[in-house]
Amino acid sequence: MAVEFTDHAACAYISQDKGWFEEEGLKLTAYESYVTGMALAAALARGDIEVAYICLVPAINAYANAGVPIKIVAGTHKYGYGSVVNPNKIKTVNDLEKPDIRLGCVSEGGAVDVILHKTIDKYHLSEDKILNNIQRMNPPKQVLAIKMGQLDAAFLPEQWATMAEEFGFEMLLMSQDVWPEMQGSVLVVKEDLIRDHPEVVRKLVKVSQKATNWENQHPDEAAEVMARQLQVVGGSLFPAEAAEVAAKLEITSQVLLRSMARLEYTTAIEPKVVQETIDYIAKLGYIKSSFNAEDILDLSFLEK
Amino acid sequence: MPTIELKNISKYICQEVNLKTLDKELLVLLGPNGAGKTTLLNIIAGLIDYKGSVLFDNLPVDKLSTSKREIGYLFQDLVLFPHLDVASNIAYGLRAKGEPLPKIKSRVDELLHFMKIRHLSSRYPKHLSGGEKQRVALARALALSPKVLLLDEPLSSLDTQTSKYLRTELRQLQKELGITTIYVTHDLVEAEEVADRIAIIYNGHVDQVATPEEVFFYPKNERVSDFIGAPNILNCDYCRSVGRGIMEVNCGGLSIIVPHDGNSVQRIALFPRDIYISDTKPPGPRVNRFKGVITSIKSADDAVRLEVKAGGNSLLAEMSHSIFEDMDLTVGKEVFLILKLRRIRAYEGKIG
Amino acid sequence: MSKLKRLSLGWGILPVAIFLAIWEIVARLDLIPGQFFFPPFSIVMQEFYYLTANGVLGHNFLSSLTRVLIGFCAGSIAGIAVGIIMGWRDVINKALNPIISLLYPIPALGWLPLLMLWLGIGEALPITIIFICSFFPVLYNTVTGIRNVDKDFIQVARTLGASDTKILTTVVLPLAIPNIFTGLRLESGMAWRVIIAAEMVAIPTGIGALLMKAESLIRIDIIIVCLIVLSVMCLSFEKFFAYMEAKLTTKWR
Repeated sequence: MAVEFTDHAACAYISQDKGWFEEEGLKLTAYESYVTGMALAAALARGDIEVAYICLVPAINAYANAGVPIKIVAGTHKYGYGSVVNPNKIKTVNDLEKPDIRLGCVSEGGAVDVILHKTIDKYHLSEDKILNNIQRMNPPKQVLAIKMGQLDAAFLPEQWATMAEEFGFEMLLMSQDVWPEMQGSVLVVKEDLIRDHPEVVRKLVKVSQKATNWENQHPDEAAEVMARQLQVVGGSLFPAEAAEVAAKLEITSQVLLRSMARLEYTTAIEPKVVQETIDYIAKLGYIKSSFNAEDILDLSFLEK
Repeated sequence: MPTIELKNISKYICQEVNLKTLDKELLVLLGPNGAGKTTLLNIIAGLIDYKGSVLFDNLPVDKLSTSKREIGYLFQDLVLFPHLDVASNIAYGLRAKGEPLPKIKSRVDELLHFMKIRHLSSRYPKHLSGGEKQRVALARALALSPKVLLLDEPLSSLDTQTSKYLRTELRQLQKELGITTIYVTHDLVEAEEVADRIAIIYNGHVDQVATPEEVFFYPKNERVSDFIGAPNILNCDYCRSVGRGIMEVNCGGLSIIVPHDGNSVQRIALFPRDIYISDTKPPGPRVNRFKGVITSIKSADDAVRLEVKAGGNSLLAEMSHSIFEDMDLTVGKEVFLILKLRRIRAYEGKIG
Repeated sequence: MSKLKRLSLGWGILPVAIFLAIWEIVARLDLIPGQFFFPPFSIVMQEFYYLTANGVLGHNFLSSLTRVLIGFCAGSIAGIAVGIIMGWRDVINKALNPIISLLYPIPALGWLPLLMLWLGIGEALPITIIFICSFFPVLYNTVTGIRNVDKDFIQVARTLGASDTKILTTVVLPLAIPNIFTGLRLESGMAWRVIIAAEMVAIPTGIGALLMKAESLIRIDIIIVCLIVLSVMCLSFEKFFAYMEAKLTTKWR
């Protein structure tokens, strides 16, 4: 199993913490955390990872570009991304076009980059000007840069976006403002797992649902668990430099509480939204051509 | 064309060397390797610094840099510029001086013609034979019409044939141009053929400066004589001509035929290696064959030297160890001597 | 082309053709275990075409090319100039040699973190790295080339009346050219390797940056296209200098 180092994968962390996987008889032979969805997607391409909690966009990339045989079996949440800015330098979205603005963003292929393009589309910003200002780096590096005053704005996933607020930045836009009904992360499994061990998949989905419900009912406790888990896991991130950077930043439960409130945790997933996403990134040129959302979805395991 | 004088020159192996050439002369510096010949050349050229004084026509040139001394220098390895063709090599000095192009072209043409290498003008050194390279190097050295010509073993890298041929050419050239020339070599025969005078150098000392004949017939000291090869020198009482270029002389009772054209022969010289010894009567014509008695046998590393009394003369002969062992020779034994005709040198004039 | 040349050209192309054929077959038949996407050569070529047609490859290639050209030219010219001074005047050589010996072994990329702090991320960064990567080896080769010229040539030139400067320009430099060009030839290929690495770390445009984007998107075909471009450029630059060196020296070598 591989997860992202964000509160997007809350149900995984919480299930781990509470031992719910074991309760269902699921033994994890590997549990890896990745700092970005792209790094996770590359890991998926390897043989030994069979389950992942990963943002939708990199999942699609892995499927379409690298031919990784995966299926999305459940969602984990909607939304969960934001753009944060230095309020002194940037007051409106258009200020992002200013030539001396330093804008942080993850590499192409990440969900955040897609949000960036959506923002450009929605507010009719100049793509050239914005792209000119971008410095590509992963989320923990961006937050560190914000802390040291080296960035004026950043597009980040949660919980990193909320963390930036700790250093004086303000949330300018959230994914909800830019892309209604946006799908956040999803639970994907390899096709062979579905074929050979469907009951395992069923149990995974069951646990995820249980965790998701629990999160919605006990937000405070959930935040505490996440804080604990992330702090522990932070030291063993891939790549190693991310681990180093993460070690410098403290992730507290107050921050997580605020952050998790910005996500909508639900295992429900709408094929329409998935199709929209596929078409959009095909337009951006991430994948060569669009394809049918049904090809990548297998929602039979979700209890209706 | 100036005289060249070295006054109290000291550098490396040379200590307090004094030497003076005559005007327009070809002086050969003869000596073994390491004797200091090239050092002296370099000092005259001004390529190394030295103690003492160098004078051209009695004017000191010590303060002048190499380029100002107006010398032509032929280096031992010729050292043609590999990246320039023959014409450009020859033109190098003229270009360096800044001469106008038409003048350069005509001078180069002149030299190509003079050295008979016109057909090589656009070739590159890597495609030249040894003899051809020599001529190009010489042309290059003469391009600036130098007052002094310095030649450092110019024929050492050539085969015997080419070397012989070029030797004669060099001498003719020098006479034609009338440039004072200093010619360095360790080869005796070469020196003899080319020189007006020879300066024998050994261990940084100038032992003798004289005409070739004087050096051979009247070596100043044992060092010189050893270097030359310790020739047999016989005084002649009588001589007469017996044909064109052949004379008969009488030395100490022996009637010897020598290759010479002239009036009177005072002395003849013959090197030990040019005297053959046989214990049996040798076949062939009876010219220059005598009987003699061995008076001493000395064995050295390289050869066996035998002293033989023939007529009124005591002659030194030389043979290799292997030949000596083939014959049964002992002191007191009677043997036959053959004096190689072509190798006999005849000396006419007075002592220098 | 003469028959012999045709034959040797054929021999050169044959192994490459075989290699490409094997690649195509292996990729299509999915023979490599565990690798999920190994694009066949034909797909890579398709992608090459697309990237060229939509200008992405051209744009990034030009960025990298410009940086290499500016950095390499500046570094080489500076290296040759300083090399001549150091090679010709022993005093200066003795003075500068210790410093150069200390700086020379530092790999160009080793300077990257320092330069990132000093210069920030912009065009100056990759160009400076290429400058450093070219400067030292070219300097070194120039000095060696000049000092290796047989002293006899210099002496002959002196006897022919040439001034020191004239000797330097007409004798020493031409004879040092083979060494100098060896340096240029080796470093031109190196410059490309270095620029890709530098771009991968920090710069938003260029072939290296394209490589990183492709990695993010798991577009292995684009990655291979970038590597092919890199290989072709290294080869072209090296061949160019080999050709120039031959042109300047075959007459007399």
